[in-house]
Amino acid sequence: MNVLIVDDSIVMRKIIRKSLGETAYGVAEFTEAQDGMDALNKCTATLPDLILCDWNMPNMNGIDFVMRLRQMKTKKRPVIIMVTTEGTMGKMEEAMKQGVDSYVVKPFTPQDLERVISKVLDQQAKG
Amino acid sequence: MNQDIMQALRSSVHKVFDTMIHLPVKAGVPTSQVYPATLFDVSAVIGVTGDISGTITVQMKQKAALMITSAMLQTPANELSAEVGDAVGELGNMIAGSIKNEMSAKGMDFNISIPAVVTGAGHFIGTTTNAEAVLHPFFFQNEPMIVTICVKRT
Repeated sequence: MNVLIVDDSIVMRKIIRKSLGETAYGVAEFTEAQDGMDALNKCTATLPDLILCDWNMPNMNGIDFVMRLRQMKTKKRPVIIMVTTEGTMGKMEEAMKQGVDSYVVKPFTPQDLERVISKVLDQQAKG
Repeated sequence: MNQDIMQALRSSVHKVFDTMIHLPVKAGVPTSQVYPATLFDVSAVIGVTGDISGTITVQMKQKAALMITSAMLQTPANELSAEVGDAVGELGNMIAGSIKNEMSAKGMDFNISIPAVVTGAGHFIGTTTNAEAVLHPFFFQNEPMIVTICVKRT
C-alpha cells in the first residue's frame, strides 16, 4: 500500500508515519507533502492508495486539495482520511460531501488511526 | 471568562497529554494577571475568529519544549530547532482545536488559525487590551506551561 501523508507539521507527519508503522498494514511506500498544492503535484506524478490529510494548511488547505483531486480523472480512487483538529459535525459533513472517506480527529492514538483505516478499507473491499 | 471555555481548556490539555505526549500533567490555578511571573522561550499563538475572537497562546521554557518534542516523537530532542518549534505549534494547534470542538458542541462556533510559533530566550507575548485574558498554568515533570486565552465576544 502506498501512503501519502499531507500535513504542514513535520512533527505530525513523523507521528502519523510512526503510528502507521505500529498498525497491521503493510505500507510499501510513504510519500509526504507539506500542503495541498504539494500533495496535488505528488498525486499527479504517482497516485497513492491511501491519503492521510490535514485540513488547515498554508498555500492550499486539505479540503481544497480533496476537491481538486476528486475532480481529476484518475485510474484509481485513493482512500482519503482527514487527520485534523477540525472535529465539529459541520466540518465533518463538509468533508464527506467533498469526497473524504473518513475522519480522525487530533489528538489520536495509533489505535484510533488503525480502527478508521481498517473500517474504510473493509468497506471498500466489500464494494 | 466563560466557565465552559475554562473547563474545555483543562479537558483539552489533559486529552492531548494523555493521547499524544504520555506525560502526567497537573492543572494549576488560573489567573487574570496578564504579565506572567516567568518569561518563556517557545510560544505558539493561535488566532480565534467567530462567536469569540482573540488568541489562544501556549508558552513554555526550552527544557519543557524539548521534553514535549522528545515525548511526541519518542526520540531525544537536545536543542532548540525548527522541529521543536513545530512540535510546540502542533501542541497548541491540538489544544485550541480540541477547545473549539468542545465549545461547538455547546453552541459556540469559532475558527482557529494555523499556529504562529515564536522562539527566543525570555520573550513575552502581549494580549490585546479590549479582550478578557486568563492565564492557566499547567505543570508536567515540574516544568510550567502556560495556556493563555485572550478573547472577546463578537
